[in-house]
Amino acid sequence: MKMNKTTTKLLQTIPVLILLAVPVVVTNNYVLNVLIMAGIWTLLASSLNIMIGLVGQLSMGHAAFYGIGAYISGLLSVRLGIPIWLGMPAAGLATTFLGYLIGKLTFRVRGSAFVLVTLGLGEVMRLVTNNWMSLTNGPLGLQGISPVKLFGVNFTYKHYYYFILLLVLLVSYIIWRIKNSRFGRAFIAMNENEPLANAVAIHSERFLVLAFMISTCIAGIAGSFYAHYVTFISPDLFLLSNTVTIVVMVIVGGKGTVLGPIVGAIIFTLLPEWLRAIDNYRMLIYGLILMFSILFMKRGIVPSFARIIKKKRGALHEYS
Amino acid sequence: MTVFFQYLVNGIVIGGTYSLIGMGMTLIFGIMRIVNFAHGEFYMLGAYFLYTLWAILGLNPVLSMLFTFVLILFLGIGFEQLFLRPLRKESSTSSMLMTIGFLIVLQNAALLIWGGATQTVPTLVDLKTFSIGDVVFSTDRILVFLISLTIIIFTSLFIGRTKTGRSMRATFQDMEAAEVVGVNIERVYSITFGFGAALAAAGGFLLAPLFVISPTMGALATSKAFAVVTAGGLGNVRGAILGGLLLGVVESLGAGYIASGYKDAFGYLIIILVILFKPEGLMSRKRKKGVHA
Amino acid sequence: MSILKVEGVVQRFGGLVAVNNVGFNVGQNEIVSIIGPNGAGKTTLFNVIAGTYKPSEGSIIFKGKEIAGLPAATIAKQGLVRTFQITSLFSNVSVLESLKIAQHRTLESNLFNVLINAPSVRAEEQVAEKRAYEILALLKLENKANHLSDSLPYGEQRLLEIGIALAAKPDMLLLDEPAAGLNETETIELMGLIALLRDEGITILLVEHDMNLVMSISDRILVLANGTKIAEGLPSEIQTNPDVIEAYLGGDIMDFSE
Repeated sequence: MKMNKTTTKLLQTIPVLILLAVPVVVTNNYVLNVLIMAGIWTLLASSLNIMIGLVGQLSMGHAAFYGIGAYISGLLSVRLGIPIWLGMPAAGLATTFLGYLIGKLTFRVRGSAFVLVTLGLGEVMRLVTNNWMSLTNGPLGLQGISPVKLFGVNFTYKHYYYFILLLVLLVSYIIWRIKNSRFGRAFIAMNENEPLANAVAIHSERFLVLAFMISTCIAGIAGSFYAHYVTFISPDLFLLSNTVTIVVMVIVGGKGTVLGPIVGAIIFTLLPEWLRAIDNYRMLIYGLILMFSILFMKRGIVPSFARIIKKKRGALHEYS
Repeated sequence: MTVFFQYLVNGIVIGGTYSLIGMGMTLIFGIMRIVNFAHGEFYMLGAYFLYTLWAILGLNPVLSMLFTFVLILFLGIGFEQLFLRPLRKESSTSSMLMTIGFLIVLQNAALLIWGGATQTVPTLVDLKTFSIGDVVFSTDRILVFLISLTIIIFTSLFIGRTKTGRSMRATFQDMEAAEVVGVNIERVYSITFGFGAALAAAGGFLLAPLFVISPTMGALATSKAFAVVTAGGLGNVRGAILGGLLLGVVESLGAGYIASGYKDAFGYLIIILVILFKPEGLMSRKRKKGVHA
Repeated sequence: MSILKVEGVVQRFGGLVAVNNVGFNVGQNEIVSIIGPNGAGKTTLFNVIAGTYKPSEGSIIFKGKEIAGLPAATIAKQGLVRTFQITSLFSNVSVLESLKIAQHRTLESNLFNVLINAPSVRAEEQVAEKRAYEILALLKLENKANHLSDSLPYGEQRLLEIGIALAAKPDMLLLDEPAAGLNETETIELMGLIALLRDEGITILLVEHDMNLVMSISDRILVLANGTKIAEGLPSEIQTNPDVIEAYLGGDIMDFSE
């Protein structure tokens, strides 16, 4: 990974500059909307990547935390008139706490049991939001969530774009920092070989819970953003298909890398827009892509590309 | 009190099919150590195959069921050989993800083939009701329960008495030892997966005449299978049978006495509570840690 | 001064008694070996000390503190670090990275400082990198720093395992059959390495079948048979102890060959 320092800096800066310039060039609201949605999915994919890619636990209830974040923020707005600036931290804190609770309770059991509990959480939440009419308005959904407003300025697509871009950059930075710290190394150690990780004093449970908390916090924040951006939420947020979409993004983009989930999220938000004509086949195609990428491109797009580049440089054995 | 017994009976009837679905999943987990997320999709296909063969093509219903069972058996075997076998050396996460991919593919393929609208399948026999005391029984439900019971017994005999069944049990006990004594693991895996899928399909074609069918019905069945298998202990066949009956009864009583909107949540509550408080399953005594000398 | 004090440890699995009332001391900076026929309970005893199992009875005092039944990671945190009998590495991680992972015990930066990349974190990372290279030099694996652990030849993998344990800066090392599968040259190198570790002040307890290695590096030897301690003493005493000879010859399995 020892790239030339200036090259690395450039490679990091140029895409960011391009992203910053987008609303200046693009004024079409439809395009901006797609990009904003791509941003939300990026947050979700990046946060799930902490679980799947770093600690190696498959959380199948990720949409639940997304939905809970959206509902907390949405309810605070609709019922109490609280703006996103308080709603978002509240959503983040609540999902972090929930992540802590569930993590604490379930990490005694790993692997498939964890998958089952997280999956169940999503379904239970969907049923609760569907049935608790007096609070959530049930399947009709929650309407009239206040749009974002800052210093008297009502957010337009352009503002939302910069807002989500800021969140994406922040989250990517955080994950990148964590990944390259003793925390990230502990996560990876857990995933690779838990008994050995324990033998070098890494408390697996502690780090699994920590990873889960970070992951659920980001999902909650993404949910809060969604609620205030779309201003309407419904129990469909908890659908398993949402979690599946996030999983596909992470796997195809490249689990365990910072860039992979971003690439995955962008591809799988743009793809359906281009494939409108065959929208009926979209999920079928997703499923096939997932199956075949597990078979033939195990590492995902980003690491595979990184490998090809490295091969060209003749450093076959290097670690990505 | 009559109402209670009525709920109980209804619960046991439905529970029998849950047992079937659960047995399929627990076999796959016990032997292959993977959670089959596509399980409910096999259940859904079971229902749609019966619908197609019988309600549309007019084939004899018993033959339709047999056909469906065999078709899903081979679908399961094919999927296992093509998509799960190459992942044997990978972590179980890869296999689980593969079954998730298959779930999406099957569900959406069904949506394209049969459409999103719900369909109904006619009942297997003339619908008659009779009562014992004040508890009402209907012929179609009794028949469903009897067929479930037959398949459960047939499966138990298959696992207990046949050579393939013995190989399956040996693999379940200790895969490496089984391989050493000449069990063809690859074959056992394929058959297990195919057979597990076929059991789910059986649950599907048995329940199809009682409820409406739709391409998305699988998700709920998968969740119920999870509940059954978690309650019974992952990999415990007898536990799955009892777990299925338990879930049926809990759902029926819960829907009757608590709130019918939450009927499908009880399964998840079972999963979550069991995993948290008795992860080895309700039926099993605490498992001993491996013996090391 | 003994660093590890094992007293009356019993480990039962169901009805089977794998370790029966075993007690011994390991002094500061000693090299002590545990030997015995297969099935004697050596690895179980090891696992009990390292926290894999909670002993059914007995006490284990490390550096003056009771550690019996504590989680493995807590025991490691206190400076008692183990290796595994079957090669155990972070397979898909580079050699250098593995050695950084293993320094977890001595790194202290908190999450907030990591996120803002505080100077203290950068300093700590530099120290970690430097130490990782020092260990690589010690293992003579400098040129393999960026190789994946999995891609190393077997002998080097076993070395890396010890390196990983070493990176955790242990006060005491538990080595579980470190010479298993090594050829003669590699075993001799291993012996040199163990001696070197002792010179650095690390106490070593090992389970080993290679009698050459055991006899030449151990200060003291402990012999287990059927879960019970049957002898303890200097290598010369053990070699002539009639009970030990009986235990080895009487058993079905000869271990000297391994």
